[in-house]
Amino acid sequence: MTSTLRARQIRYGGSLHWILRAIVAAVLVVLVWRMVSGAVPSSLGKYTEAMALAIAALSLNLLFGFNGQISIGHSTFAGISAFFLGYSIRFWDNIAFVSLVEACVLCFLVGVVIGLPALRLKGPYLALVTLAIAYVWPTVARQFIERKVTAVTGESALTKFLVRPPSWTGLKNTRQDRALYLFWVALALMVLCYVVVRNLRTSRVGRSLVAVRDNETAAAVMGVNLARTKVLTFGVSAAMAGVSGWLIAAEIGTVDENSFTILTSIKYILALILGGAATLTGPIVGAFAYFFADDYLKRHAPHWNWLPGKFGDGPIASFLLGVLVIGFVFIAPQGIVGLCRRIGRNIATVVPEPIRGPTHEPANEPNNLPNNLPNNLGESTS
Amino acid sequence: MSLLDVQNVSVRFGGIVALDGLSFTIEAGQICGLIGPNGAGKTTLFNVVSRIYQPFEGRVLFKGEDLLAVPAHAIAGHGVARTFQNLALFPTMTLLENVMVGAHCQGSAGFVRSTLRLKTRREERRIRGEAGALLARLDLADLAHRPAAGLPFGTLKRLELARALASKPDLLVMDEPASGLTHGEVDELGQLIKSIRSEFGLTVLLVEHHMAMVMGISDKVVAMEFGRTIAEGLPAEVQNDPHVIAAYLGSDV
Repeated sequence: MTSTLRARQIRYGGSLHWILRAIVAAVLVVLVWRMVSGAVPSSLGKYTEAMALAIAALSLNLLFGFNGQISIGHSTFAGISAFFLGYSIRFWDNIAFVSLVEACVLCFLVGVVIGLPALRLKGPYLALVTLAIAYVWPTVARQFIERKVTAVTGESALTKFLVRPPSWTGLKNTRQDRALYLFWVALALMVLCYVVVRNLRTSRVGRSLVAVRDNETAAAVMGVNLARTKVLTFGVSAAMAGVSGWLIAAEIGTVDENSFTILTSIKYILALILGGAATLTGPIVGAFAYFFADDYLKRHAPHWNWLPGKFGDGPIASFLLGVLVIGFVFIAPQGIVGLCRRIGRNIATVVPEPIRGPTHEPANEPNNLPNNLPNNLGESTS
Repeated sequence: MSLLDVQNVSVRFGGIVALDGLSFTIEAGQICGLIGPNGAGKTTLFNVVSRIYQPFEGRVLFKGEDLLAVPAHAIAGHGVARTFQNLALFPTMTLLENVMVGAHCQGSAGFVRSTLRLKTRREERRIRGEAGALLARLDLADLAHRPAAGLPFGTLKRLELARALASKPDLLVMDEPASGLTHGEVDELGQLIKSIRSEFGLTVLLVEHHMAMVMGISDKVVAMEFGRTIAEGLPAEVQNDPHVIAAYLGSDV
């Protein structure tokens, strides 16, 4: 960046900073209000699905973005949770939220078990193990359906499980009201997952996660229990992926063995990379960008007649989406949030509270460090 | 009782004997310089003390306690901190965060407490304040919110020192702190090590090739060769020890 203009400095926690925060909050409220007002079930459903994708991307961000453990098996956790919801509502008359909690616990435990090999594997090797898990899942799911569902009801998928709005919400059991209810549930869960990741990242645990990613040996010498940190992170991330799967299942109302495949995992990764890995808001931004770019292309691309010859046929939307993602990653390797931050840095920077010298020194000696260093925007990983 | 008592420690990598029954002691408050030609096993010893390597035989007593029975991640909590020969910082984190990771053993918030923000505020404030004070002490306050990546080597060396001090250690183990520094910086570093020793009540064990610095600041020097102690004592004594001269210059004694 060769801007000669000096960026305006905003003191972290200062009044200008609070005004900016208030503006952002207001914009978000207006956005949510625009989403729900006068929306039909199908468009509400899309927002719900986008938020489910955002939750999955948040979970992957915790594991991959901050802790450096890659997983291509996160679709499996979503799948386990989705099946759990479907089965427990259909056959046990479970309450949806009880299912959610139980599914999260289940995913956490499975995540911990799968996280154990992660202690010895790194990078591509860990990716391969988790890939194998994502690869095996459809077979397991098929077996489950055949033995537990088809044998009882004759159906070839888990269907007809509805998440009904409870009576205190004042919503009726209609398609519109169910969609509206799920929209709010999705929003609440997404905010909850965001807060969990943010709280973790800005705490002692979060620092140890990033420390493990940056330098394992040094982290261990500093007193970070590597095994515990990695396995627990895997578990928490898996539980969060479970939330995403639960939400998708509740929204679509039917799941089979093809609902959560390796492609689902790839979608999570793409959403995360697109938004910006190792940033707090990146997964949400990326998930919405990915979901609605995909949605737009699926609806419009097949009708574009300026596309040359054969391109007009076939799955043109996926092709264009792929091109778009590749192109974007070239322009902004740090994702949408990283790009915005790079641009924003030239306009204004948020400066954290400076560190004051030790109080026991009567006079601070003039520092010999240059004080015209470019300012960094806030915390490097927020 | 010595603060650190290394007894007959041996480490082997396959057929290579890196440490061969090494023994020496450090008293509390001392600055102990560990010298020896390349390959003498100095860094190996450091990795034994910081529990990265498990010795084949021998004992390491720290404050009378068997250090080899302590898991690697609990060493910092026991009061042993170290710096690395080639920087081992967390490049994406800010300097402040780097030092705060150093204070990891000084905190207790786990996954549940961190997620729910249960009684973490005071602990966070304390750790942040102490980390800030350490950065200020080492003239790094202005850079506190910059990521560590891309800063000059000498600055990062000081950051490593600040990070090690954040765990409030009794024993600070420094692996070649002067390597890669300019002459002026080496002199400053020597003074810095001496002053932080008294300021923070430390015992310092350092490996160093920079003889002027080692001899200038050490209370005690241990000379090693082929994984064994060949001389131990005051800097002047070790300097004139025929075995040490032989090890460095290769004359036959």
